[in-house]
Amino acid sequence: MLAPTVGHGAEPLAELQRAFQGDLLRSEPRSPFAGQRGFAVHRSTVAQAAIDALEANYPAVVCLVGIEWFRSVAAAYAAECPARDARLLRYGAGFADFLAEAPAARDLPYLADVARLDRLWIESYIAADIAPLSATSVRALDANALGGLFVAPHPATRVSASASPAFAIWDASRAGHPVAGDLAWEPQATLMTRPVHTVLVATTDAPTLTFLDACRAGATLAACVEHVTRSHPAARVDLLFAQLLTAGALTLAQE
Amino acid sequence: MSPRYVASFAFSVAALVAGVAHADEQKDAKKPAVEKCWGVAKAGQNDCAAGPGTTCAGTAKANYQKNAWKNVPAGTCTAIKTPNGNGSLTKIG
Repeated sequence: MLAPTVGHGAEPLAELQRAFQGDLLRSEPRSPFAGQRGFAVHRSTVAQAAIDALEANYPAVVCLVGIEWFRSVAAAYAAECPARDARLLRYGAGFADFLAEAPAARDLPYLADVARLDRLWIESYIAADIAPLSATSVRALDANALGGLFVAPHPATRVSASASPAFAIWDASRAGHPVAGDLAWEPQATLMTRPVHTVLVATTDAPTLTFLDACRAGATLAACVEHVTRSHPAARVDLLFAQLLTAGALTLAQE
Repeated sequence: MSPRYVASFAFSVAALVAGVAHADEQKDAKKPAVEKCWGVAKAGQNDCAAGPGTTCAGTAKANYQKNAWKNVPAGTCTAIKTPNGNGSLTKIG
């Protein structure tokens, strides 16, 4: 079947494609495509694919709210923010913020933070592969060289601070388990790293977040430590640094 | 360099040295044994370069595309059943 003609611009193909794409996402298609049955089928396939992708990308949220509720919210998100990249693993970057604003999720104040962790897991999973700074390589340095070292967070390192126990809720939901009944309702921060193939997830604390911020801002290791001890005098910086090294959270900064 | 700066630098370095002593090698540091397995990846879930039409990870256009591979735990590839037959350790077609 010949495609219907749309407009008579200088770039008829580009114009045709724009009209086609616009109508795929519009709630009421208005181009000549709209009359064709095959187009309606394709429109529906595109919409379902976006919802399926969100369902696959946010498993902990699905587990918490149930599949029906999730798919209706996902449909609302997909209508507002259609996929811009064919790699649907990357789709849904704004879904956590969307949930935070959604009236339907008002009774679940932790939901957006749990969604954020689902998203950060994907970001960590698909980040660049670089060898993290290892304890062995650092052990070879003398003390002053160590203090003067410029490090940066590893490309796969992600952190998130939540006012709710988001890590505990996410961790249980991600595995499909109910959240423990004796859950302590306190703020939790989460650290994700991926030194090789597997994303490692652990709880962390405010001094660690401060340390990583200082690294990101381009401070030397010694300056990072000083930064942490100034804002968190009681922090055990040695243990903090050990945790980051063991988790593969750091890498040498690019000169 | 002021005396105060020298003192805090020494303190910071001491904490770092202690941290290095506590640190373990990354548990994940030894790469887990995986093998490239062709024909088992679902659309969009291939690990890398999969011939014409796909450039890299996550771009395979069809389920179980035979020229797309996925890393799977070593020794499990040929046991993976798909609607198109078992996985293969070599590129098919």
